[in-house]
Amino acid sequence: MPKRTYKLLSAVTLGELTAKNRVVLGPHRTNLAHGRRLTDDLFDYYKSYIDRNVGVLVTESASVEDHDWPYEYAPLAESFAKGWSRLTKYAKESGCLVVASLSHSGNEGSSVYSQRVMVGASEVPDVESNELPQTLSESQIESIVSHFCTASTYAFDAGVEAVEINASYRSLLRQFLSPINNLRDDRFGTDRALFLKLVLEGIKKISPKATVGVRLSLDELTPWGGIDEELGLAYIEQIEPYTDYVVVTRGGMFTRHLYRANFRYGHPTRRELLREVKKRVHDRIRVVAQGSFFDIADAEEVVTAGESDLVEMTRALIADEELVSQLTQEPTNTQPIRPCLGCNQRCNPIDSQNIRVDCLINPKHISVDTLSYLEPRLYPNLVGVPISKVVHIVGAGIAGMECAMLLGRRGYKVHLYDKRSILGGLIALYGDHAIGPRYRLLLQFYEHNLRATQNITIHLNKEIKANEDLHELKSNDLVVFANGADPAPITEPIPAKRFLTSEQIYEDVSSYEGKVVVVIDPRGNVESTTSTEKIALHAAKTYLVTPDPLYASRTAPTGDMIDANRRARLAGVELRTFSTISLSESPEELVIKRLFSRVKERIRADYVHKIGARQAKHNDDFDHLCIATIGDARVARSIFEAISDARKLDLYLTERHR
Amino acid sequence: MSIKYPMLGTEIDLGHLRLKNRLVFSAHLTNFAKAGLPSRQHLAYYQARARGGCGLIITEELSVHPSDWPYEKLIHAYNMEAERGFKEITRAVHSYGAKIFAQINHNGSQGTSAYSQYSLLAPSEIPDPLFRENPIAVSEKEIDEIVDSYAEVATLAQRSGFDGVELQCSHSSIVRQFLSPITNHRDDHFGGDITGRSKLLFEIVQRIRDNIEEPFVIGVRLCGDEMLENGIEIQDTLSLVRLLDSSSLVNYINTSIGVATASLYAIEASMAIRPGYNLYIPSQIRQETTLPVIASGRIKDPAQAEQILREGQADLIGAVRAQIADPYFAAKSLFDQERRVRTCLSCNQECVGRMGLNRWLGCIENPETGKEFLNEPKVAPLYERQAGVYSPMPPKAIPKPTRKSKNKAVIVGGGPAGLCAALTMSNENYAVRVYEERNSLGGLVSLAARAPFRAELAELVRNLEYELSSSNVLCETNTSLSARAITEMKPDVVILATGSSPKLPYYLKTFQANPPKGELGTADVVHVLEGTATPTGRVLVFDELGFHQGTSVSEMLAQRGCEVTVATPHMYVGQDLGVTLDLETWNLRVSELPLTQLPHHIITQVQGTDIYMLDHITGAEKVESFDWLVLANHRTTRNELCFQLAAEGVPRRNIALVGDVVAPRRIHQAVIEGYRVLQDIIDASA
Ligand SMILES: Cc1cc2nc3c(=O)[nH]c(=O)nc-3n(C[C@H](O)[C@H](O)[C@H](O)COP(=O)(O)O)c2cc1C
Ligand SMILES: Cc1cc2nc3c(=O)[nH]c(=O)nc-3n(C[C@H](O)[C@H](O)[C@H](O)COP(=O)(O)O)c2cc1C
Ligand code: SF4
Repeated sequence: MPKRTYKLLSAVTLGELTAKNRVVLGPHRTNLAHGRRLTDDLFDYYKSYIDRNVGVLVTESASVEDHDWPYEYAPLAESFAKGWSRLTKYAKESGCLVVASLSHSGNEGSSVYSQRVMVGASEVPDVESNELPQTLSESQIESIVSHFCTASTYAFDAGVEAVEINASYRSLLRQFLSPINNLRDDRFGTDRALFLKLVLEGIKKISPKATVGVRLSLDELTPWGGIDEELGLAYIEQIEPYTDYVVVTRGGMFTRHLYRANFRYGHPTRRELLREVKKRVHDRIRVVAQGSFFDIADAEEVVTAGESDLVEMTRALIADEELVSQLTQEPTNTQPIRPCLGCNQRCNPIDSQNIRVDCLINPKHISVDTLSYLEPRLYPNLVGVPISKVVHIVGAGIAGMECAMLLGRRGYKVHLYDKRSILGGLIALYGDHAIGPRYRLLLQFYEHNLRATQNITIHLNKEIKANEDLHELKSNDLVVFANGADPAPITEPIPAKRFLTSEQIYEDVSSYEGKVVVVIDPRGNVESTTSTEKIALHAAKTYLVTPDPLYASRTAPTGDMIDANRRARLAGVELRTFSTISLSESPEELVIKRLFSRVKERIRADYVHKIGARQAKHNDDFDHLCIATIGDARVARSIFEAISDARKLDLYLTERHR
Repeated sequence: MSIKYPMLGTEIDLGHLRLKNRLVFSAHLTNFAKAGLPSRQHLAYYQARARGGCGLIITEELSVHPSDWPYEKLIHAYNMEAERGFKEITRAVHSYGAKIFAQINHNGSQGTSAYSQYSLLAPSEIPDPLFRENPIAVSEKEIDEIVDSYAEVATLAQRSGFDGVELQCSHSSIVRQFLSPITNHRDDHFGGDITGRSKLLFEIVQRIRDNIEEPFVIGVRLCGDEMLENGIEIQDTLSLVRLLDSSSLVNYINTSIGVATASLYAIEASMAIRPGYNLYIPSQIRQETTLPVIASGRIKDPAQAEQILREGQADLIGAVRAQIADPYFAAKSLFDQERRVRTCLSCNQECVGRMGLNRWLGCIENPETGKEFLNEPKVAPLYERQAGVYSPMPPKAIPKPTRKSKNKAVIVGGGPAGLCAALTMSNENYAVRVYEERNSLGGLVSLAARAPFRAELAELVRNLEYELSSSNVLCETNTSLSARAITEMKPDVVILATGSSPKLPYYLKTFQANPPKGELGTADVVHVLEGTATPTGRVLVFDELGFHQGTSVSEMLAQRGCEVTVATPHMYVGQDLGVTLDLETWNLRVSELPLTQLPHHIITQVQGTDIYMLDHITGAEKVESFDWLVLANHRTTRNELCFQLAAEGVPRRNIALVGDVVAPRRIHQAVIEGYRVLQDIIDASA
């Protein structure tokens, strides 16, 4: 195969600077900037991208003044300055262009860390915090303009040659641009772009040679008001004289989830819009496409079509750090990329718990350190026994496939078994519903890697029930159980035969087709919405019973909570919140009990499904010497832990063999 | 020594240890930990309460094992580096004559693997209803390791100068999970009857005894009643107490009610739950044992505490929030200064409310809570000098009578912001006058306190008024000032605390508080609370705020017999009540009233008595006719005076705005802005 050439990999100028390629790691919340500065952890995180050939790295948005403190570990320009200097020094060698993102979140931040009033264009509450801002006076606006200038000076003095001004996601400048937030009748209301222009003008005055970019929301996607495409394009024309590039984004206060939309929203930025932007600015300034560019092919297409000059691929890079470096390698070495699913389950740590940025399919924070105290407990059977380099992996779900791939690469002779005729386990069953078609790319990724590795043998349609089922088994051959969870025993006062298991829901639709199904949901997570929607597709009637005040309560970070509620209602699901279930005297009936009023509703129900009712597999029939259990078989959790478990085992074995 | 509360001030022995009085600062999370270690913030915080006179401090839970990391700012006590910080804390606390225990714990399934990257451990594979993560059922080997880790941390605690340890077997603990039939389904000898289920508890206590040097106090904190179906009930607890009593392994029993992740509203009861609600637990336990028993839960009045002791319901009083709000609660109570106590409101807004949000502990009415490490108290109050009599504390100089100040501060508005600002300015020797247009102080807070189950909010106003009564501040009510009148007083500083006013939404032209027959009455919640509007019949309360404003007024109207519908754009009614643990209790109460809830709806127009609403989730529209529309909406600032003063030539730097006039928000912001007003004035002119 000849090596492909990508336009994406060609150099491009940004103002007076040159980026070595056109792939951008956008600014994103990591929760690693403790003390509002660049910590070693955050440096290492960025380093992993600098080392892997990313063209442009935009650092996590830094507040330009300390009263703006949107989340606990939000960078502050003044404190982050040393960090910029460290990063630019490091990046110089590889030629990665470091850009400092500067921001003021205005009314879309938080008042709890600074204990200062949030500020805004007008007295409009934020939809999330529901908090009112103080309306900025003209002199306060001027002082914020000067904060932007001072913050740029910190960056420039630190050796950064480009800054990017946030006028998009959680941004005061966007609030001024937006007719929803800006109801002023002074000059900042009649000319809504004035604030942004003053900021850009101020920075250009300080450092005329520096590259200045703007992250702009061109469409707040709120048809009843807000910035629309026409207004957004007009803004671009207004700011063009002071800027070197513009990142074309979408979303506003009501549509934050569309700024980095989940897979359900398909391709985000309308390509017609990009073309229109290009038309307006010609080649005077650069255009960066942003939002749900998950695949290289997609990005390459917009670049070759001349619709944008660069493409931001933040989540794609979070899912696989090798995204760019893979392209530059010889074709024989290439492995397909671990494809971002667009699920937003682990990379969008927006709540107050400060969980570090992570990825559902690429767990990042597993280290030998965290393992040291865990080993004996993770693998009680392995302690102190010799382990050969032959491994039998039972179950080809996510855990089994990841494990096979990793150990295969380390030269183990791997046998991977599954009782089904396909690879993928549970995710192959429910993928379409949970993650949409992108889950197939993940299965392809595994399949490709497994099949491409010579020392891995896949045995499908092969159920491993007892020791005898494992051929070639020597006592120190390693057996890894990755055979998923069992249905959990029922704790509700309902006869067991009426329960549907997860497998039945996806594999045996006919068993509940046209019946009445009650879903008991103590989780409110992605599994809840996935299974409920699947059941509603086939059942005559679906009830969802949850003790929570609302359905899908834990899906907010994925950006799907409101939409999931809408979908369930449109699918005719009967939602019963603040409710529990009990048995009635009549066998055909169930009782739904409201938690507080204790009002009882009797319904005729054929089947009950309980979300998350899965428990660890007890592989008691096996008396083999070397056994490790990973994934749901160990304890039922999610894809994330399935992959984590496999990586931990790999780390453990590598350490042991050292 | 207190004449009024002799019992409270009496010494008591826990094992070999003598406490100087009966007031305990029980364990509570603070989120003060830095990198998993005790911090300066902890040190100053505990030191302030020791100095404030309490007899015993029990630290927040210290985790015994790396598999336990349920929230970010947990103290990892198995980390030997923690010892240094602990030593500083115990030394500081001891210097005031108080004793200090370490609460040690493993949260079991009530946690997450997100921080540790390691799966949860629990007696059985049953997920916690809040954390919702499946745990691993621990093997006997793992149990042994956990038991060891308790013993190791207990010896570390002893080395660090703690006088004892308390084993948390209550709110959020693997020990309770073993004790409770809901979470323990084991069929080995750690399950089954109470003897099996308490085996872990006894192994831990025994192993600690084997490892520490005697004498050392070991206590247990038991959950008397989980308040859950099939859970631990008081009878189970009493059986356990008998076992504990006969084992002679522990020295005292602390009590609580509820489970942190399923019935937290019972542990940290808000003002909606009557005081004394859980006293049946310590009093029944006390019947079964000779060990000293601690009562706790919503005790914040020394008279109530004294009564509990006098009636023999408990031997000691745990008072947490009372001392979060006022570190000198003990000294003030015991030295007949109890009117000066800054009484906790039981609002849960800034203490409990912050814990789940991963923020450091604070208090709505005490901006210094959690910030003790930033400043030492400037003036030693009288009660502290008296407390000094029995705690080894250097007596502070008596403040000189304030000289007549040349600097004048005029404060417009006597709500919480204005009153706090008055205290600050007066402490800085300004001659302060407060002008309030209503006939009483307290502003919106006094009105909000009129709603059912909200009365204790008014303690805030009482506390502030009492503090002002011993200052040089003059408050004039029924006085509304013009800008001209203010300038004529030639103040050096004008502080505007004029608050907010109702804002008309686009679909209304005016408020109509006295509607002609057959027309729709319209009002803001404040009108209803003031009594300037009295809705009757079918009432729609439209709640955009999601906090107490809408829910408490709805409840009030429903109590009066109105047929109430509460509509809100949010996904459920009262979406912010959960944070203060009021969601369950409110729902429970209104389920008995004529009140319907209508989530995710917005009002699109009002025509006559017809109100048009849109379900913004499904797009469905509906029209209903009502007699009244009551709004709990965002208000608007009343800052006209600011512009008028400027027009009168008052320089902007001499005007400060505090509270809702900056932007209508909540009490805590008003209090903080009042508290730091002088600093803000100085910063602004710099
Ligand atoms: C913020 C907060 C955190 C708490 N954390 C703990 C804890 O870690 N361990 C514990 O045993 N009790 C904990 N508690 C419960 C208190 O010890 C006490 O039982 C409860 O606050 C009721 O007492 P009070 O009304 O005097 O505040 C906590 C209470 C509060 C307010
Ligand atoms: C009916 C009503 C109920 C309220 N309840 C609360 C409350 O429970 N907690 C709170 O922090 N603020 C509450 N507020 C807001 C505060 O009262 C307001 O922010 C505070 O009084 C501002 O102080 P200032 O008037 O001195 O500026 C309520 C307001 C109203 C109108
Ligand atoms: S925040 Fe409220 S409940 Fe908590 S200590 Fe302060 S006054 Fe009491």
